[in-house]
Amino acid sequence: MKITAISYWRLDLLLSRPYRLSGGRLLFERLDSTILRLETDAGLSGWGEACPWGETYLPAHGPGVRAALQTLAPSVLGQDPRSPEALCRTMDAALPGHLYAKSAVDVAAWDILGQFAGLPLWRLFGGVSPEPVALNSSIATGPADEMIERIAEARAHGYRTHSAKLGGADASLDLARIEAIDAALRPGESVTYDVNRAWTPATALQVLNATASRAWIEQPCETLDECRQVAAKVAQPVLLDECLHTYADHLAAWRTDACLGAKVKPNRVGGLTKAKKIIDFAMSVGWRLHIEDVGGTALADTAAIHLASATPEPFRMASWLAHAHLADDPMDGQGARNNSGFAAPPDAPGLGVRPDQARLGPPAGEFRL
Amino acid sequence: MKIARVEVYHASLPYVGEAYQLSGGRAYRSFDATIVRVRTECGLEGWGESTPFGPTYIPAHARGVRAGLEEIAPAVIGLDPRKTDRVYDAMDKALAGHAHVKTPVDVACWDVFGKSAGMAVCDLLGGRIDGPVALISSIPAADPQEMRENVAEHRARGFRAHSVKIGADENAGGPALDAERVAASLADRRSGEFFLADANGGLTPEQMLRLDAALPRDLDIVFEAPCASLAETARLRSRLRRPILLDELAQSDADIALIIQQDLADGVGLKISKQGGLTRARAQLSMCRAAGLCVSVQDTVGSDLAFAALLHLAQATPRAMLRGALDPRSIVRSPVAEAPGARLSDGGAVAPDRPGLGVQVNLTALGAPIAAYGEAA
Repeated sequence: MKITAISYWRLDLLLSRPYRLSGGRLLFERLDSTILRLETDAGLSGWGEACPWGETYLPAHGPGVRAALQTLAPSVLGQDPRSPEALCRTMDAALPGHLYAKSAVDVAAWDILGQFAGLPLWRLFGGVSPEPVALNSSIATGPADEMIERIAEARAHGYRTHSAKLGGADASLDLARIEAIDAALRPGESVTYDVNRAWTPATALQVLNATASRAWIEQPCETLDECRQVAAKVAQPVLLDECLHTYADHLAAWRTDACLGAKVKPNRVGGLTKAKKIIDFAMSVGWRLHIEDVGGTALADTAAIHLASATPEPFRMASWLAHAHLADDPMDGQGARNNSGFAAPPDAPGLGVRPDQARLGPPAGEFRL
Repeated sequence: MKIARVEVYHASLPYVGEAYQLSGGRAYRSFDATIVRVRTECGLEGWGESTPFGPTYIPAHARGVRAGLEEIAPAVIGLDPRKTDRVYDAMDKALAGHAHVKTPVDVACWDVFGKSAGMAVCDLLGGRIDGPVALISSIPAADPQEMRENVAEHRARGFRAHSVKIGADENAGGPALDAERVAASLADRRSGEFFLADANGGLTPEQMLRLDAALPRDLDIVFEAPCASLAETARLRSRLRRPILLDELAQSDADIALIIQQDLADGVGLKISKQGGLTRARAQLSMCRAAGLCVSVQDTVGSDLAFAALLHLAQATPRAMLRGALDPRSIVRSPVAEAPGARLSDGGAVAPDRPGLGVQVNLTALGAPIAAYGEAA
């Protein structure tokens, strides 16, 4: 089987409301997503999505996805998509880095493999049933009372785990947020405080050592080494996200005791093939994981939920759904959706989401053998 | 003073020979250049270039440069180009990472700054240190005898430093072939010459240790970019006596800090577009100086425009820590730009003594811009 065509579409995704991260430094109002289709000479086609979260959350952006796909296309055409790992190696040889573009190709290859095998991705990833995954909400930075209101809204939608964003210029406000939010949680609920790199190590120590909260603290500082310094000196468990890209980064984090968990996002690490290896390593060293994607429609979310569902419970924490933040639903109800605070992966072979091509319109780019 | 318009041009720079070979079977025949023109309201303009060394040297490719400029160019319109750190802040707010995208805008701003102050860029970067900058040649991996002849040819043209590419996989001859390449390249060595053996991250610690063992103990050579990762470099470092210079693994300020903190290298290869422009390269040069590291001031590849930028930085670099500047004209020939006065003579080149970069850009050769941001021309 050969890949005979690569087509991609640009989707402009408006957020239902503007979103602030990292103490309000970073503001997001719309996302520039790229939807990709691989066609084969066997009549099967697969879909993937690469949707960076803006241009400043990670070193990734929409135009960069499409530029990378143009450079990668000649090496991808003619390859057998049923061997996603070999396809990853081929892409890495053609263009190093650019994991945020490669993820779309990798997901589409797995979609084809699943359809060919007649199996849903969750089964190919080792799952025994399409187990529903607990969902976590995303609570943007703001005054503590506003954040508590947003948690209440999320609770009404079934969420029991919340990712509360911190990282303001005033550390005392972050401390107040932690105390207020911890106190407002209901029994059975949990929270992760996601700083998105905003603190210096000193600020992290001042805040975290002043609170009795034992919630997960995510990406307190910019670099792996700074986070390591913090992890060594606080009682809270540290989770890492933005500073972990390659497998080697995860090894370095483990070797230096920089964290006890990670967020594994296909778009950040380069696709499902690479994410699976990282998850296997993480389980072997006892880390806990949030498996979700960086952004996008239900297409991107569903790929991540397949992987999350197949990951055994002790290691798996809640997953965030990016599409819950969108004003529109380009995937028309397909894929993994919030059902009382849980999302289950589809049972159809492959990914289980097929965009309506009439609705997508003509592709922005197309490469054929 | 305000930036009114940013124009993006594209040029193809042909390799001077057949094809340039790097480790891992990579081979290039031409290089895809992106050239940026920053035009101010008062009429001053500056130029910068970003020409990745193909798409496989580091995570940078020419189409990515132009895609990234879509985010960055609009963000600098209206800013004062002389306030180079503030322009950089604005670029960082428009796009995270992507140093090779920010480079041409940053360099163009230094060009404008120099022209507005009536000073050469090297003087803005701390001051010209008189005397030529020794140039380092780039000797592609090939048959040992060919490499010896290539070194001799560059020596005859005035090069006093040579970067010899190695990285033979086992099928091709492995460490034994690389040892022969190094020995041949150094066979006619003159006093005062400096040599790098550059694997471009293509070898493992095991292969490097075998290569090191196969070379005469007293051979004076620095290994550049032996392995693909910092972790492998650290493992090698603990068992290798010869000095190491890191290039591909030294991209950001944080990379330099980590290299110093973990004592992973004795020197850094600075490439203007890899580091993210003159603003970043200069900051990292200061870190290297503080830590006692040597530097080679280079770029990936490029026209005379890229050469001028790196030459100005090299001209202001204390010679005791400088291990040559790369002359990209030994790799490509292009009519798009000329740096009058930056001629190779008497063992090196001298940065132009005119305001800004001192480069004349050939607008006819460049053609029309492929993209433009800001006011209409």
